[in-house]
Amino acid sequence: MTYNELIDRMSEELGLSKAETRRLMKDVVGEFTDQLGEGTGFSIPDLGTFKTRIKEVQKIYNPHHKKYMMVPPKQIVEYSPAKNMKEKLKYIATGDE
Amino acid sequence: MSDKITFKNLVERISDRTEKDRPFTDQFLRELTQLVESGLKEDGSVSISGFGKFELRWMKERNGVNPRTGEPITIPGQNKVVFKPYKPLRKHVNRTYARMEPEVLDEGPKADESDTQTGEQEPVLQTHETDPFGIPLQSEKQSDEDLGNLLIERESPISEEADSDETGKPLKAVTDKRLVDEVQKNGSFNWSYLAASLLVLLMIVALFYYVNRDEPSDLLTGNNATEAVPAPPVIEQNDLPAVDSEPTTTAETDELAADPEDAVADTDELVREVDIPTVDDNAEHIGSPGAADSPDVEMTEQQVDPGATLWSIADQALGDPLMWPWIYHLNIDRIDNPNMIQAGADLTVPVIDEDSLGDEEMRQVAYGYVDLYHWYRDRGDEEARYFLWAAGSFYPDLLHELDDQAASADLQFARSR
Repeated sequence: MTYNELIDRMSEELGLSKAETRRLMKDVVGEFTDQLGEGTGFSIPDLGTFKTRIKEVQKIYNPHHKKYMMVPPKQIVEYSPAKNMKEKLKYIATGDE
Repeated sequence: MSDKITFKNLVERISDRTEKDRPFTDQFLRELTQLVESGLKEDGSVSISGFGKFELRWMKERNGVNPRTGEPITIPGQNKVVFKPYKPLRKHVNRTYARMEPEVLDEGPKADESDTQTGEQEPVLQTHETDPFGIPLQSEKQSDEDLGNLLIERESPISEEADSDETGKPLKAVTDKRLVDEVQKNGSFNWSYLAASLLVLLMIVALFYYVNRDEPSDLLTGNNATEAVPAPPVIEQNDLPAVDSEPTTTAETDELAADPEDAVADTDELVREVDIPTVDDNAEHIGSPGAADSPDVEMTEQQVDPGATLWSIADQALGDPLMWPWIYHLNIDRIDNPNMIQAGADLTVPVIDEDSLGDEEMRQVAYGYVDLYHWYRDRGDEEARYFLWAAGSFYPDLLHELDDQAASADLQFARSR
């Protein structure tokens, strides 16, 4: 489902205009992003938990350039799906099955 | 960093932002959750602009153990919900690290230095140590130096003076110092260093022996022996009948084959055969008429496995990774970047008898190298000329056919080798 489809259906369900839905969605995503940017995690019922984790400095070997490199630390967004949703989607058929 | 806000708190904050009441925000988020779920159910992915993409990923059935009993169990295949953050989100959470770049470490393997000398894009010309063409002039010179360094470095724990002997090599000096320190600290010499250095010495000697063994042709071709260049061991066989160098039915329309210079190659009495690294016995196989008489090369279609490179495919299918440009040559319409092939793509791969490689095969490989030369030159890469040189080492006559297709400086470079 593309973002446009999501907005379409969202506005239908909520009885709002698409523009309004889009604006709200932007704010919601903005808040999510800000929270994660502060290193704060959050959970949304039935959807799952979002949080960040630091990936430490790591030494890697680049086989193409034959060089060892030091990769700086970085923040990784982690998501773990809510149990409820996980169970519901576990055995449905998908394209890549 | 690991703190968390409650859902209620989150709803409050969002409400402040959107200037809507809390029940509405609550409803909005529930609706979003609903739609993500049904979106996953319907097409397996839901994209939220600026945030990320939810996806269903099918995990294959796999074996595991029951952690409590240790008893092996089969974990059935199932879907996993994954979330891939989009760039704005990744960038925002990483803004404090934004200015940090990956750093190249000095302590790379030996291949490092020779690499920068001869072009980093060129795995062909350095990695195959047993290959006589694989080591171009500069990298050989360089590796001589390297060897020197290595020797000194390995010997340093034995004689502490080595430190002062070699000046002007800061990196090495550090290593020396560390080793010396360690010797001093331990009060006794660690014998494993000696064993290690002996092993390394042995390997170096073996390597030298190998390189030199492949080199006698230097004298034949009149190369300056002091250069210690592993020149392509070209063996001239004057009395052989001219081998058919017409292009074969390789299902490949190559503009090179159409060159009028082909005639030159045909009438050329001097048939040059280039030794292949995989062939042990030069005399037996070189110019074996059997190979040259049956120039038809069989082709097969092969799918690219994940992780495969042209190099690895050539290694498997042709028995020699250095022949990978041939595959590139055959599939030039399908490969945009020879350093990056798509997994799952179909490639035409020749089926050959590794033990009887003839003129035609060499020629095809050389064409591949010429294609690579063009590819790199089109991108302004200075190292392109090395590919031309490699083409010449596989099929010397080809260099004479390319007058109008290659930069004369590059041709000069390739021919002078």
